[in-house]
Amino acid sequence: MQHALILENVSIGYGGEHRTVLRGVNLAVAAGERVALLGLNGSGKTTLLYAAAGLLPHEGTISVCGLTLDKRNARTIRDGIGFLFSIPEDQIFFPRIIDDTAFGLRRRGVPEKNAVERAQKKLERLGVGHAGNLSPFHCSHGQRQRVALAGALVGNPRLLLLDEPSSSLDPPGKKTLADTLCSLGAAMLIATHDIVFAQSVCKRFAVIEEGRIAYDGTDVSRASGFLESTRRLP
Amino acid sequence: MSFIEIWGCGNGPMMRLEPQTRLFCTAMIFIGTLAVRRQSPIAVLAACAALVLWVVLSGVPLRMLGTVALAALAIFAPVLLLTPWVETGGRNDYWAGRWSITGTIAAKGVAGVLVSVAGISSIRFGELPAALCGLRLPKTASVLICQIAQQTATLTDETMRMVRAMSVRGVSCGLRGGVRVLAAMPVVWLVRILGRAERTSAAMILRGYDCDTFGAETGAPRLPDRCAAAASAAFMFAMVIARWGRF
Repeated sequence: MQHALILENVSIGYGGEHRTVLRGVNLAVAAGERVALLGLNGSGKTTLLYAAAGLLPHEGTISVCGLTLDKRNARTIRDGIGFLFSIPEDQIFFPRIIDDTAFGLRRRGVPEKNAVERAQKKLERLGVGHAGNLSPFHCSHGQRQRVALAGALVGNPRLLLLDEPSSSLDPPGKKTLADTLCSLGAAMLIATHDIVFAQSVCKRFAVIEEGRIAYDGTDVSRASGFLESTRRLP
Repeated sequence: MSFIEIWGCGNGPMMRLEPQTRLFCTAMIFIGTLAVRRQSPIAVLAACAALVLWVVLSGVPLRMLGTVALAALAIFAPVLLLTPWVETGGRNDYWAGRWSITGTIAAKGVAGVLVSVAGISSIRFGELPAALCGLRLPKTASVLICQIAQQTATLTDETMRMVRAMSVRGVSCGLRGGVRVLAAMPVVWLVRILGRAERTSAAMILRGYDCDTFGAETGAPRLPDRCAAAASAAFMFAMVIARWGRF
C-alpha cells in the first residue's frame, strides 16, 4: 500500500535542545486514509503538521507521496499538499475572497474563467458561496475559516493537513465540513480537540502526548479516554 | 473607525468610474497636491479647490472625514514645533519664512492624507487587485501594494481586537493599571505581529505565493468616456501644478 505520509523517528526542537517538541515520532498515513491527530494544548500537534509540510527543520525522515522531504523536493511536495492553518487570516492573501480561493488554480496554470468557476463551486460547497466578491475582513471568523479551507481544497491535493478545521464552525458548518472531507479521496491528517468531529470524519486516531505518539488505533473511546486521563491543570 | 471601514465607504459620483480610473485619479491629485509650491497663491488655490472637489466627488462620509482630518492634524501638527530651528537660506530672522516652511509641510501632509482617504473611500477593498491590474503596473509593484494593503488591514484588525480587550480588561480603571497595560502593549503587540508574520510567510511558502501569480491576465478593455475624461483631467491637473506651479 502506498503511503501519503510517513514520519520515521522525527524529532523537532525549538531553540536547540532546550525545548524539544517532538521526540522520535513514527506515524504513517495511507493514501486516502483519514487520521485524527488528538492531543492536549502544547502537545505538538501543530508542530507535527508544520514538519510534515517541510516548514520546520527536523531530525528523522519524512516522506510525502513517495518523495523524501528535503530542500530539493520541498516545492514539489508542497504542490500536492492542502494546508489549513488554525488562524485562517494567516493564509488569506487577497482582498477579494474569490481571488484568494482561485489563487491555487491560477498558480497551476488553470485558465482564469475556469479557475474562478471552480473556486466559486468550492465556496458554495462549504456554504460561503455568497461571499465570493466580499473582502475577508467583512466575514466572520468561521466564514474566514471556510474560505481558507476552500483555498486548501480547491486544487484537489493528495494530502490534506488540517489544523483545528472545526474550531470556529457552527454545528451545520461542522456537518458540511465533515461531509465534504468524507467525500474527498485525499489522505488527511487532522489536528483537533473535537472528538465528535474527528469521529465523524476519521476511522483512525493518533494521540500525541509530550511530543510522542501515545496511542494510535481505531478505538475512539480509548483515544478520548486517553485524553481525559492525561488531562491535568498546571 | 478601522482601516478596512474606510475602503469603499464613499457614495459620490466617483463610484461610477472604473476602479483603475479612481485609483489613477487619486494618484494624480495626490501628486498635484504635494507638488504645489507655496510661493504661488494661484497654484495653492487650485490645489485647495482640487482637494475640496475630490473629497466631494468621492462622497466620503463627513464624520469619517472629520476623524481622519483630526488624526492627520495630530500626526503633522508637531512639525510646527520645529519652526525655531528651520533654516531659511540666510534669512533666519524672518519668522514668517520659517512658519511658511513648516506650515507648508504640515498642510501638505494633511492634504495628502485627505486625498488618500477620499480616494480609498471610493474603492472597495476587493476592487484593489483589479484596479492595480487595470493600471498595468509592473507585477512586483502590484503585489507589493496589494500585500501592504492586505497586511495593514490584518494588523489593524488585530490591533482593534487588542484595544477592545484592553478596554474590557479595565485599562481605564485607575491610572496605575492603565499605565501598566499601556507599557506592556508594544511588547505584546510586537510579539503578536512577529508570530503572525512567521505564520503568514509559512502560508505563502506553502501556497506558492509569488509575483507571477498575481491578478488575472486580461485584455485591455476600452474605458468609458467618463473614465477617460476624469483620468485626463486629473493628469492635466498634476502636470500643470508640477510643471508650472509658480504661475
